[in-house]
Amino acid sequence: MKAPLSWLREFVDLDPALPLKDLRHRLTMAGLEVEDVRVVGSDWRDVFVARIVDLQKHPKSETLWVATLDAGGRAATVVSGAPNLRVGAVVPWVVPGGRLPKMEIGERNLVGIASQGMLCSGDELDISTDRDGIYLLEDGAQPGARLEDVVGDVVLDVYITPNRPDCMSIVGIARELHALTGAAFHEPSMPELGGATPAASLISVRIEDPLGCPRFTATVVQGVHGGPSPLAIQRRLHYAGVRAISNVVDVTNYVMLELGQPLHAFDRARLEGGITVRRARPGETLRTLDGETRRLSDDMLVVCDDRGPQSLAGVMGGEDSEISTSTQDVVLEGASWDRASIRRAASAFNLGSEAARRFGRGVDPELAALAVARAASMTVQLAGGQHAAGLVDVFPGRDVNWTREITFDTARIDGLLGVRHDRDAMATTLERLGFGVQRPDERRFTVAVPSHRRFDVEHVADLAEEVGRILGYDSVPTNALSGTLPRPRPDGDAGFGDELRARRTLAAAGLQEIITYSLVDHDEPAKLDVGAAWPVPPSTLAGLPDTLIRVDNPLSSEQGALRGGLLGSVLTAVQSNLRHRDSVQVFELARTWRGALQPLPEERRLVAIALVGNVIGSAWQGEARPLDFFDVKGIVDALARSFRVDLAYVPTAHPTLHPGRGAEIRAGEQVLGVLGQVHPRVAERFGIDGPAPYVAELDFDALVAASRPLERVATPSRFPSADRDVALVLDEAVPHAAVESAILHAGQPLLVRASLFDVYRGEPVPPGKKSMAFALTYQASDRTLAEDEVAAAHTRVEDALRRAVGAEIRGRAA
Amino acid sequence: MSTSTPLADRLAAVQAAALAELGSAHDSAALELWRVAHLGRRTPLAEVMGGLGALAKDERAAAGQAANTVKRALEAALAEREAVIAARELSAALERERVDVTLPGRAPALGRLHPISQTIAQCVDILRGMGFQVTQTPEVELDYYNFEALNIPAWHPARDMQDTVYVQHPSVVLRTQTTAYQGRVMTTQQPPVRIIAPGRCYRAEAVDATHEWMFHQIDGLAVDVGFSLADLKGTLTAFAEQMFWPNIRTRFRCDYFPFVEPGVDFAISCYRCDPDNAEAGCAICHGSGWLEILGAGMVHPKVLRHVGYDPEKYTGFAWGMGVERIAMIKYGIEDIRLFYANDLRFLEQFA
Repeated sequence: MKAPLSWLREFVDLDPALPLKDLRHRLTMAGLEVEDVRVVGSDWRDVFVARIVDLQKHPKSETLWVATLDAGGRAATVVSGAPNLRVGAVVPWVVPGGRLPKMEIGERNLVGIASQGMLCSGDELDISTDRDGIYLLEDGAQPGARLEDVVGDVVLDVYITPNRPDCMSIVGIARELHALTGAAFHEPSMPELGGATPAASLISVRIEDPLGCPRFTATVVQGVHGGPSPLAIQRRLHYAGVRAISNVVDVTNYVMLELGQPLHAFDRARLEGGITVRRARPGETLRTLDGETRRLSDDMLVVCDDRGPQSLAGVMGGEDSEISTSTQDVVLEGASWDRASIRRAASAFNLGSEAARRFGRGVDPELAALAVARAASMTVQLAGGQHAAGLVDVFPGRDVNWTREITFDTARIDGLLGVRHDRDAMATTLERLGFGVQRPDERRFTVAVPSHRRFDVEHVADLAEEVGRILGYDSVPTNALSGTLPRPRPDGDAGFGDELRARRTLAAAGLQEIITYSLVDHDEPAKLDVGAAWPVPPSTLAGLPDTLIRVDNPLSSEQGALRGGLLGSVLTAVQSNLRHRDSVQVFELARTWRGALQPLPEERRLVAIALVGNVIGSAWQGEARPLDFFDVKGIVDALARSFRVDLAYVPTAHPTLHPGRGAEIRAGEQVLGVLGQVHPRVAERFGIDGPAPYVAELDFDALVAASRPLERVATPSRFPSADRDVALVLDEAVPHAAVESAILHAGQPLLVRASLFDVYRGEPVPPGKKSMAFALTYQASDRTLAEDEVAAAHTRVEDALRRAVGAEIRGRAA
Repeated sequence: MSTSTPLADRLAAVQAAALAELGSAHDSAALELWRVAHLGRRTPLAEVMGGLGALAKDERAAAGQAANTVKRALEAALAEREAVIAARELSAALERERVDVTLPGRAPALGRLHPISQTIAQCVDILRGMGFQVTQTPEVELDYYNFEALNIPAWHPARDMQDTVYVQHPSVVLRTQTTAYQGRVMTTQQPPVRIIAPGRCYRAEAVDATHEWMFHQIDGLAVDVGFSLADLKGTLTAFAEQMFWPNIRTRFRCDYFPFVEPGVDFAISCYRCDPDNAEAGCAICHGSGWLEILGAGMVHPKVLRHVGYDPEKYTGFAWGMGVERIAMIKYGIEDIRLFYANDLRFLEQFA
């Protein structure tokens, strides 16, 4: 809401000595944030009022004029191309060396004649939107005066929060200033509408939907002369951000800005019969003022004549009954509308008019009569004619006889604010804001809520805010929090700690965490070569739809669906970083969605990892090497270990992955996710040239669910251990997991550790075979192992290897 | 006994010759040769001592003592010389092992949390210290919890304050505020309540240097008998002092959020400026002296009633803060879009 200070001063006697900075600060602290202040003229330099005393055609130009100016005893010659100059006109003149918001003005030669400065349009000065000619000032403006002394003002641009529709008006802000400063406040008064013809004889109003329209007030002004409004009114509207159009329309806007009641003016000649207010009928249409034909729905309120809808109530008028320069008789409407209906209609047509913004937040029904009467009287002042006697005021909502009283112990306000305010100061504050205050006893107040605060004040907490914001929150002390701590919650921290642990484990493993957007292109699964929503083998996807969940109103098609997995986003981040580096090691832990909306989709946390480039090693020592499958696998293992989960890996033919370098990640029978090298075809689709990244994606919720709690730890054995190696030659096709499993199984219970330390192919190992070597450690927790115990256990291991995986034990007879 | 017997002279000569020779042994090998030559079985000293048997019994004891004295002197000299040479040889060996300490170190791969995760973890640590519990609720949320339960029915003007991404209009939304957890939490817990909820939020907003359509909030809530704005101010001030800088000044300004009443905007003093005398061109606070960091207030009585708490008995305070905003202030980040551009050159600075 842009509020010119001169306008505010018509309703509140502000101390002229109050600095603008303080005024701005106090409004802001009280919840009416002053976002900007325009001091009209502050961005001009040396702009004066001048009278044109002589005007000649330019001798060498068809389009230019040479004007001789009198600026209060100072004469000048100015060349101008403006079409609206005439002798005697009073105009703004920028002297050479002066400045306008967007330009410096000098003396320049225009086709042979020196122009001393220039004359300006309203647009150049930002005092109107007119750019077609020179701004012609009112006759009373004194030549030689500084222009800002004639047209100056200070405009406060105040952000009005949605709870304060009453402050979307000059009077509303003036009332706040009254409460904040104590300066006298002048309530707008109801003009007497005397006249020969009663309004009711000129217009009839019928309300069919009293809940949608609790009040409809109207009157008629006959015999108006359309034309421009006085310049002072036009400038005020301009400063308030509303375009001046013509006197009759300007009045409706002026009164709306002043009082907060939107008004509508109909050309009476264009209405047939009486006015009816009702819901639109299915199929009805209305051509609105902006020239669009709107198809109405039955939850929209319309103002009709005998033919049909003439305006979309509270949102926009109809073109058919619009005021024009030839309008003679005007019907002025001031009504109250159901907030929800107005908001629905405005949003259905995406029409954010000034009227709709006010009605949508709530306009005090008590304002309607005052506003219509004020508008009728002002129309006569500005456009001539005669107003009808009185108003037609249909007010079904009045039957409700709206009152609201709140009785409370004043200590409750202290209790909410944390500070005790003087009771008289409390009462005065509330009274200045328009509340009625009675004090039935020492402790209590009974506060009557004024109609203009009906939309936001219902409870003592609301009154506490009124007291707090006007008397100031600076006196609220800072209390150290004390009292009883809450009981532990049944769901603990809802997984927050698990997520932090995973993030820290992965960071410690050398990965940088990234955060990518939760919405992705609906076609992302196809880009990853998976039909399913989630690039994890079908075994975990039973019963899932094979598409992502679309959102209703996406910001763009790239953000059209809830993501089902993280791989696509992570690969995109990898690609963008590969533009400026060779190695990228990243992870993300985030939520994903799948399943039917019932009503919410299944929300699942996933972790994705991507590695590409070289191991970070000391390059000058030749230690850097390409990252590979076993790097990503080692990281996944580390993550699982930090949750005490044992993983197994099974080859998989997942379509996103390299067919020979992909594995399913399992915990017991459950598939947690996949890892491997991205298929080169998929990598290329993501714009990744060179070696395809190694990735893993796993279901973090499932990992956490598989996690064993750390309940009891073992005491390390005090007894020495015995180390033995075993080297074996076996078929190439036998996986390490099978060998390891055979060793661990056979070595029980004395074998405590078995680690692979060599894999070798080539001479003297025959083709199709490989050699593997393991270091085994035997130990007991209760004794030093005897040599023959170790030997027996080791022999069991060797036998098992021969039996289970067909190994030949090197250094032993078969 | 005379000090100058032939035996004594011989011993002195043996000792002098041996010591002189020791002085020219410069490494452990030479030292070993010297040891064999002067303290072994066939040495000048041994020769002298071998002749002791020929002496008279009373002379023999004195001579033996003198010879032993020489032997001990030579042994001591050897030990001393050994120590000197060992030290010299060690330092020579160490010198050969000298490295160029300015060559690059062998760095272990060191990852980092995203600055938003780090900031959330810091905030949670501080607030847990004040007795707040952590919870998390869905990001795809029912309109009911995101709006209705927070005193924002469908037609409410406050819906203008947030542009919502709907998963399914009008009932399922991407939550616009973590405040959506309040209804879920309060219906399953009785006061006292102290809880915070960090997480992602979404709004259908145009993106610029200070607005992102995806962002993070930490929402806080405390309900008990007797809580007031002073407790809110104290909690947030203690938080801000730990999160930002000490000796912070804080300020409430009236603001509107539908789920609190009174509602306030909480600001901290700029770390470069005195709020009473702010520097006009300050890049941090833009000349106001204050940085508005979050919205807060006393829990609206309708919200309390909605979850079954008696607003006549209990009061509560709540706040919601933007994690990006906090990180931007703390680390001097000028463009919110950097957080999700995932440029490692940006992220790696948060070590």
